[in-house]
Amino acid sequence: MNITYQHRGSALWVQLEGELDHHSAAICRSQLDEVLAQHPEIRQMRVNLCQLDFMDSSGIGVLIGRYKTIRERRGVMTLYGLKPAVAKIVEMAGLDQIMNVE
Amino acid sequence: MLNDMKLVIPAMSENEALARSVVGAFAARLDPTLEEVEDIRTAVSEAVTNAIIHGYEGMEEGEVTLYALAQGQQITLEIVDHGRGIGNIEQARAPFYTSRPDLERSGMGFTIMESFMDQVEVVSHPGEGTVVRMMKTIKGAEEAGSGA
Repeated sequence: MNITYQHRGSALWVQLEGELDHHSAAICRSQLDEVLAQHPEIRQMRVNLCQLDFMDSSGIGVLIGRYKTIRERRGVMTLYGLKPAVAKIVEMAGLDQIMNVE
Repeated sequence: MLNDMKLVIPAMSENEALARSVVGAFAARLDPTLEEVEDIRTAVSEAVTNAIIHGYEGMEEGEVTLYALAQGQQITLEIVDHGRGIGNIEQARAPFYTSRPDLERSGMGFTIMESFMDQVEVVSHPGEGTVVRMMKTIKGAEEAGSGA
């Protein structure tokens, strides 16, 4: 999978491309944690999933983990551009109840 | 139509995508909807991931076998490992339960398998391994009126 991000002020824009499973979750987790650790001022995280073709429960774990960091900073996390299969998993896990889903 | 296949892969996370791709291609012959294919691919991904993370936890190597059988419009999948087995299957299947919170597991694996497939059976013996058997009837072709 491919992970790109852009950071400005308190905002972090992330784009996830490809397939987010147990294998790619480790890479995704470490890259996002690195940028969050380097920039403690980040409080808004917007995750663009329009190029994410597949996600399973491993991806849910990655998103919840980063959400916890943002929540500890009293920030807001938003997911957007979800394809139908990804939206189905997100809703099943109840992520739409704890973070913004557009 | 009767068709079957068997895929044996080393229990490495790199092979999760391979298992998904193969089962997706196998199921495609039954003329499923895109949603049905994604459901099957996701359920297989969960089962194979469980085998790698939990089945072979602490073991240096192992194999995961994926059997697929198509009978008419019904697809049956078996994901088999010869790892540690599951001590308490009921607990393992409970939503949000995970034995590995250290790995940021969401505990949603079995819930997803049960939601996306028509039937899920788990047979496991500690020290011998686990078989996850899942069934789903593909309705896409029937609804489209195709003979497949």
